[in-house]
Amino acid sequence: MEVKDISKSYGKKEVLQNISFSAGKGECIGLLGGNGSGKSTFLSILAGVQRAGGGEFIHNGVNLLKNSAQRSAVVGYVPQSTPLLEELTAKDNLRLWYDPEDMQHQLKNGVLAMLGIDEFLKVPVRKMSGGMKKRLSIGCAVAHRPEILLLDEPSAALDLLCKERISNYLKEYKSFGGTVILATHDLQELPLCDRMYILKNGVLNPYEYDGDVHRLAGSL
Amino acid sequence: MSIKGKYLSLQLKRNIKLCPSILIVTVITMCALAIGVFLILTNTIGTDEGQKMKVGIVGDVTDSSLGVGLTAVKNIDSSRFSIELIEMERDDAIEAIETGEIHGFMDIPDDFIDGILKGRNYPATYVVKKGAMNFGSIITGEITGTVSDLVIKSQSSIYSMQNLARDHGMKKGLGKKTEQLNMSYINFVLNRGKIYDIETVGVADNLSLGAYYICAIILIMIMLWGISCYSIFTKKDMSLSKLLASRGIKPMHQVICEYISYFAITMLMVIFFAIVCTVVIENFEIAIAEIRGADMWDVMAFVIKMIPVVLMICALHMIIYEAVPNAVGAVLLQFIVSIGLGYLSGCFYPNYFFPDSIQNMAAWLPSGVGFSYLRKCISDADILRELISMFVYCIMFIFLAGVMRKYKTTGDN
Repeated sequence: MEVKDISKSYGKKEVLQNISFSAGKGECIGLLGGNGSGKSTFLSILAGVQRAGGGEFIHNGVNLLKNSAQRSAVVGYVPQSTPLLEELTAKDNLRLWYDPEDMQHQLKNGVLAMLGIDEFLKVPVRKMSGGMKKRLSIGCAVAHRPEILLLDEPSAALDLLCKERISNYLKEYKSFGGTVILATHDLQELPLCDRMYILKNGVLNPYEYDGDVHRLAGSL
Repeated sequence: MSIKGKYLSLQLKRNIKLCPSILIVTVITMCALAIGVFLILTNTIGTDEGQKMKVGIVGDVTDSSLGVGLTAVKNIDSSRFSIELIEMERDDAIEAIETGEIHGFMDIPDDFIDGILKGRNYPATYVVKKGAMNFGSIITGEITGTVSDLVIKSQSSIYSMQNLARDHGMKKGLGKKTEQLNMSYINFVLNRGKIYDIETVGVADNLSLGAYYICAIILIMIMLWGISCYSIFTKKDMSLSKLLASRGIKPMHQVICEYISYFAITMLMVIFFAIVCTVVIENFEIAIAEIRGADMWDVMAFVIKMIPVVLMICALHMIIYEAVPNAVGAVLLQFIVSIGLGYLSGCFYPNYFFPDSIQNMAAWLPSGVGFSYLRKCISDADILRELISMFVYCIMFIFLAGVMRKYKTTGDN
C-alpha cells in the first residue's frame, strides 16, 4: 500500500500536509505524535470516514479514497473509542459484522478465540472492562479479514495483560501478511512497529526509536 | 443479510431491551402530567359551584315578594347554574369584591317594592370594583338588569291587579290569589330555560370538546414520548457511526435504520396504550360521544390511522437528538418543543384567542398538521392536505438528521 500526498484542512488550519509513505505486507507502521497532532484525522481519512483535501491511498493499484467498495473490503478500522452497542452482548455486536457460521468458526479457532472474546460472549458491553471492549472492537473490525488494519491508540488505558493479548494478536495478524497502521502513545507498542513516523504540525517525518524516551518525548 | 439489515435488526433488539426503562419513564412522565393537569383543573376551574359567578345582594330584601323572586332566581331559574346570589351586608359585600370573592353586588334600596307598588322608581344599583368591567361583569350586569326588569314590570302588574281587585271589593282571599299569581309568574316567566335550546357547534372539525382534547392528549403524549426515549438516542461518542461509515454504511443509512427501529418501538408502545385505553372505554362510562362504545377493532383502526403522525413525530425526535447530543439538553429541548408546539397548535386550549396570523402559522406547524389530521380522522373529514404536509415534514426531518449525523461523524461540512 502507498499513501501519497494526503492533505486535510479545517478552514485555514492545515492539519495534514502532503503525507506520504508506503508499507508492505506484514509490516507495521507506527504513527507517533502529541495530542491533536492529526493522527486520528489521518486514520479516519484512510478508513473513509473523513474526506481528504487531496492525495491518494493506493492498494494493488487502486486509489481507495475514490473506491469506497474496495476500501471497505480491504481496510479494517478500530477507532479510539469503542464502536459498540452498549446495551447488547458481545455476541450481538459480533452478529453485526460476522455471518453466524463464520462467527462460530472464529470463536473456536480463529481471530475471536485469539482475542479471547469467547470468554465474555454473553456479557452486555456496558458491563465489560475497557480491555474486553477493546478486544471486541478489534474483533468487530477484522470480521471481513482486511489486508490493512488501522488502529487508533488500541492500548490506551488498558491493563498489561490486555495489552499483551492485543499485541500477540497483532503479531499474528502481521505474520499472515496483514499491514498495520498504528497510531499510538504507548511505548509498549513500539516494538511491534517496523517503521515509525512522527506527525507534528501536519508534517510526517520518519523516526528511529533507539529506546531513548526523553529524545522521543522531545520530538513529539 | 447485509450489514444495513443487521444494523436495523440489532437496533430493534436494542430498543426492545430498553423498553422496560422507557416504559417506567413514560409512566412517571404521564403521572407527573396527570397530577399537573389535575392541580390546574382543580385550582382554576374547580367544581361546578366554583365556575358560578357570585353576585351579592345588599339592602332591603325583607319584602316577601322580593324574597320569593330571589328564591325563584336562586332555585328555579336557569340562571342558577351560572349565577349564585348571596345575601350580605354592604360592608361585607365591598370587602368580598376587594378579595375577589364576588364579581359584584346588587344594592337594593329601601322601599324598593313599595316604590314599585306606588309607581315610583328606586333603581337597584349593580356595584363592581373599579376597572373590573370585564366580560364577566358585563354579563352579570346584563343578567341582573334583565332580572330586575322582569321583577319590576311583572310585579308592578301583579300588584296593580291586586289594587284593582281591592278597589272593586274583591278582598276575600286576595293575598292568597296574589301569591298564586306570583307563583304562576315564577313558573311561566322566570323559568325561561325551556323556551330556548342551546346547540353547540363542535370545537374544531365538528368534534366535541372531549374528542378534541383526546386528540390533543394523543399528540402531546407522542411528542413527549421522545423524552422517555432519551436512552435510545444518547450516544457517548460517534465511534460506531465511524466504523459503520468505514464499512460503507453512510450516515444517512444509519439514521434511516435507527429511525425505522425507533418508529417500530414507538408503534409498539402506541398499541400497548391503545389496548389499555380500550379496556378503559369498555369498562367505564365514557362521556365523549365520539368514542363511546368503541371496541378493540375501532381503537386499532384509529391506531393504524395514527401511523403518519407517529412517523412525523419520530422524525422530529430524531432531528432533535441529532442536533443536541447532550442528554439533558436534548430532553429539555424535547420538552420545550413539545409544549411550545402543542400550545401554539391548540392542544392545551383551543387557539381561537391567538391572532389570525399565529393561528394560520400554527396550522402549518408539525403539531398543527398532526393535530388537525387526528381530529379529521375522528370526524372522517378530508385529510389529504395533512397527509402531504406530514410526508414533507418527515422527509425533511430525516434528511436534516442525516446531514447532522454526517457532520458529526466526519467533522466535515
